[in-house]
Amino acid sequence: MEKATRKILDLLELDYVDLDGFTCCPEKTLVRNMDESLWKAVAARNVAVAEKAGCGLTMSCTGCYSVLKSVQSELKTYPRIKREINESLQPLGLEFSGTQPIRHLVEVLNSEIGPGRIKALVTRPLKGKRIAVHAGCHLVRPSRAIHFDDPFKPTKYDQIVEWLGATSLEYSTKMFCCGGSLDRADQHSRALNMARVKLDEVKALGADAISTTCPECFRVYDNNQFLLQRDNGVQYNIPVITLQELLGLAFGMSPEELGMDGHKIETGAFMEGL
Amino acid sequence: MLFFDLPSIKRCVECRGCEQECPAFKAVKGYDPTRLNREILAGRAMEWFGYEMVWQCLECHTCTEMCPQNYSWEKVMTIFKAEAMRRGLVPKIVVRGIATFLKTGKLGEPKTAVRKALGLPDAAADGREDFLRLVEALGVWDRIHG
Repeated sequence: MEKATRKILDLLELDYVDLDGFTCCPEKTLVRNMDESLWKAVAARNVAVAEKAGCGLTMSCTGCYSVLKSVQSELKTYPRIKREINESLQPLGLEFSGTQPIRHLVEVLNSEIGPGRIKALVTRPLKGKRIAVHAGCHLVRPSRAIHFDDPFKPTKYDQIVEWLGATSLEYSTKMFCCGGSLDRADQHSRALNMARVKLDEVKALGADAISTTCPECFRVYDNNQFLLQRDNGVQYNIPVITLQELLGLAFGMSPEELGMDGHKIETGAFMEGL
Repeated sequence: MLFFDLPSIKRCVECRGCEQECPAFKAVKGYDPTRLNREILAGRAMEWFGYEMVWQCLECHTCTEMCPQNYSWEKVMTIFKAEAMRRGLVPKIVVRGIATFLKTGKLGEPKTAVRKALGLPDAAADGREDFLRLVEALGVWDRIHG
């Protein structure tokens, strides 16, 4: 995922840097439920690290996006909380100001780069490909902090997929949670059951791929699909192709160049007819 | 300090408008926050902190977005999770995750060999030292003692 991300950012000539000094966003279920003040302080510190370098933050992970946007929104809304957090950041030589944007990759691609530049780079249109977009819960929720797309019927990810020449499918479990957090709570068999809900529908629709930008959702639909096939005898064989990979393929890159040989579910069938 | 907003929970039991949209309610057998809400209203919340249902809320925020009283199942479940954490009644994998996070500020390390094989640059340095100072300054270890 990282390899494909760098490839498309390079091709789109986006100026990006790898900053030193980040930690985990931090993950919400684990850290917020353990200690809310630590959750906020660590998230604010990550934002402050970027602000100090004069950079906005962009991420592919919807979890990181939702966490950092939630904390940014809270600190910008409540001066008292911001002051308290900044008191704890001060000994580290950092300050949260909330002046730099926090953007998801979908937001950058859809709202800043836009259809003109993306379509102009397409050399291998994904014509005829029917994609089940899985935007992921945290790309759009909590909507009071995200302010980017509809929390129940988002369309911006789908628009990008269509700019590449593919069709984005409407389906009933489109916003169904991947269930990755069940794996993180030692409830693996339930996580597998959860993944099946979407896999069953997408299979019945005859989609060519599921697409997601979130590493956790990717792990669920790629790795847990693989485990379901290996251990439960079901056969889905639905390639899970990230948005970055779809862009890379449409821009003429090879699957190997994009690191797609690392997927658990074979992606070869997707390349047929392109 | 444990605080459930009982009038909101009573309305929540009567409404259940989010029930058919909740992915866990649909896909996880036995997941039923209304049952938990009824236990809270009956004064038996204390008996449920160690129950696995608490960890089946996916925090997908579906109910939060829908809730007409801005309360939601998720709020109840996160109160249970936080209290379960304080009492040490959490799945082992959660304990391991917290321990890793508090020691390193992260939930895992970059895989150097994989990065090299993929031709990726070395991972940027993390902010571990600052993170540990923050944990110390906020007195986190005192609060989660045990």
